[in-house]
Amino acid sequence: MPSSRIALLGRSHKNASVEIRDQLSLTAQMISEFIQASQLQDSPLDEIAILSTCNRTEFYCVSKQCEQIYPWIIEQYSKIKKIELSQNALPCLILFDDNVVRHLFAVASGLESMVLGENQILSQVKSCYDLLLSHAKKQAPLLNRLLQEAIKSGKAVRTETALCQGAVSISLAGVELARKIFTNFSRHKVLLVGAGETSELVAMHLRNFGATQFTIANRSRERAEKLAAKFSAQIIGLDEIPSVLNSVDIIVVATNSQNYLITYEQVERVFRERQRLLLMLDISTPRNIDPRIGLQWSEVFLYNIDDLQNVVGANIKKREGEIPKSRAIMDRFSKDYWTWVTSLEVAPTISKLVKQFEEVRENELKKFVHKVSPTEYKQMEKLSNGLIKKLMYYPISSLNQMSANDNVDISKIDLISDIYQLRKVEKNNKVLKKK
Amino acid sequence: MLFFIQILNIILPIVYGISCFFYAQYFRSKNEKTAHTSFVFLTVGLFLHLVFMLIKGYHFQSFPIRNSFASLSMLALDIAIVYYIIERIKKESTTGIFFLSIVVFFQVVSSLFYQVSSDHDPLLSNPMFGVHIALALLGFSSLAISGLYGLMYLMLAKEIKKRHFGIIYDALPPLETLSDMGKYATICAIPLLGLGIFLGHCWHYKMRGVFFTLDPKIITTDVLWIIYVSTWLIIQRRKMSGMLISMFYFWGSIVFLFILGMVKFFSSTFHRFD
Repeated sequence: MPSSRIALLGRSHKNASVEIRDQLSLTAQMISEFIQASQLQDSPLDEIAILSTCNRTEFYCVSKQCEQIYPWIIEQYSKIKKIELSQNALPCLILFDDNVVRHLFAVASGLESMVLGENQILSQVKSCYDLLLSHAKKQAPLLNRLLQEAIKSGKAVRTETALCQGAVSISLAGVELARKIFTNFSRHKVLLVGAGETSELVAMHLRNFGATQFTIANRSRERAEKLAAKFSAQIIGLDEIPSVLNSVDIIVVATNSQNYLITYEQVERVFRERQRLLLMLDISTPRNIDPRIGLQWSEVFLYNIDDLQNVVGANIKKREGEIPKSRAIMDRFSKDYWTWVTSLEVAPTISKLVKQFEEVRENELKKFVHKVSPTEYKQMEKLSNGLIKKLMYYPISSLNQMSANDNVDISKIDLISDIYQLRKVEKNNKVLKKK
Repeated sequence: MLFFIQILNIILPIVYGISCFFYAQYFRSKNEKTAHTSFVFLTVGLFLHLVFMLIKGYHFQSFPIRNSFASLSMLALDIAIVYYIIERIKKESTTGIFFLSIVVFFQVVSSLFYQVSSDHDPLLSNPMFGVHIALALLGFSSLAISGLYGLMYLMLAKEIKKRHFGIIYDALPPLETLSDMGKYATICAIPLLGLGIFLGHCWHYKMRGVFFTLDPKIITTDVLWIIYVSTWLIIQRRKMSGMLISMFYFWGSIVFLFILGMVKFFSSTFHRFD
């Protein structure tokens, strides 16, 4: 293992108030300046990657002088963000080596998120990786590989487990129910009663799944117009609701009205002719849709806020049940990462190199065992020995020198391992040994 | 040729079994790659099955349902064909496990009790009679499949209505998709059965010189088909959907197949033209 250590300093929603998180948050531009500053001569860092979202700001660093990281970051904040961080602003979470790896994998998988298993964090980790790639002038092999593995691990958790499945917000739970009833939202009309935030969220999720035909009914026309502009919706008054009940398939009601806005009698009139499915989501307190409607007609699926809350609760429980499975996947990727890191050590690289050259030599010689006389064979052995030693001299002495000067360049070791396929050869040898 | 027949007789349940295994995996995991693999195996199975039937027909010079076990293989093929068409149209693989399980069961039983003997009813050597049976069996398979889709719809609708978000809720496709799949199966069933029945009458005309006879089985089949088609047309005309139409798919197929089964059981005149 190189003498550098991987360290993490950061704050997240788990240990910092929103004020502190705001103070610490960094824009992409600021992150690129941090990365560039880390590559200056006076920097104590070998590598740095920064993950800054609304819920966390975390500094992933590789350094031989870990005690210098915190003061350096404080200094950069004053230079780049022009703020003086308070003494206890940052180092709430300090982890090293394997704990950093496990933490990042958990972050990428959504295990550390405010909403367990949320999906956005993976794209934020990808952005963090992209920033590292585009702004690091020097190579940052350890963090580069770490972020790659974190993204892979995050993807694997999402495909191999149900950690990120099932809606965990009321609005999405309503849309999830709609998706169990209707296949193609573009064929169905949506009526939004109320033009507030909840209606907008549901409409947005429905549009993401293909809904295009929206009608908005709201007390205030001005507010309805604002929402209608976002969804190219038609606007009607609350008194016009009965006239559109026959043509819509999904009704979302989210208002503060104290009365039923959709009554039993209105729906009864519609269902004298109508025989199509109708989904009604009543996300209002008190309820705005007469609850008898859901009991009377088999074609009507009516859900209130409690029903949707139960869906959310059940989904969260399901997600929690997936944590052990997710941890096992992360362990797998963590093991892969450390295997790779170990392959970057100088001494094992030299021994693998020698072993591989020796194997090539032996295999080539074997081809001539029965083709030449024993004396000729001995001469060939001598010749090949000499050749191999000469060919290995420069790579090995260069590696030894790096080690002696305490100036190990991981990227060079990685390159040697790649060029001579040392990891692949080692893997094959292990398989052969097992057999 | 007999060698190929015997080889295919062993290979078919294996290929369908693999396809069924992947459909089960897809039902559980919803991994698109698994769905693709199961569909590939189903396609291969169908191709081999068609080859198997053609070789058998050619070798024995008869329609390949010489006994009850051979008929099971034909039923397996028919169910697989109808399901294949529906899956291709709707691009929905979740329900494959149910139909492939039936296909595997029928094919395994048929392969296990396979007989090489070339004895068969001379009727089966007539191509017109063969087509009549093939169409009728395909029609009945489609009818049964539409019934199963109706059942799935009713089960899922009940779960959603009662807010039981369990395994059925998680695994089955949306109600609208199930309804569409049932519709396609019915669309296959109506003309196939109609043509099958019509060819049966043609055969009767050829044998006895009359197009229609007062045979209880023939009357029942004709009447049931007419009632089924009329109900279907009324439903289409009224643009009905949802629960009612799924009840029609389910109960329609149950009543149709049950009554026909009863009549066949109690009457012995069916398909006897001597």
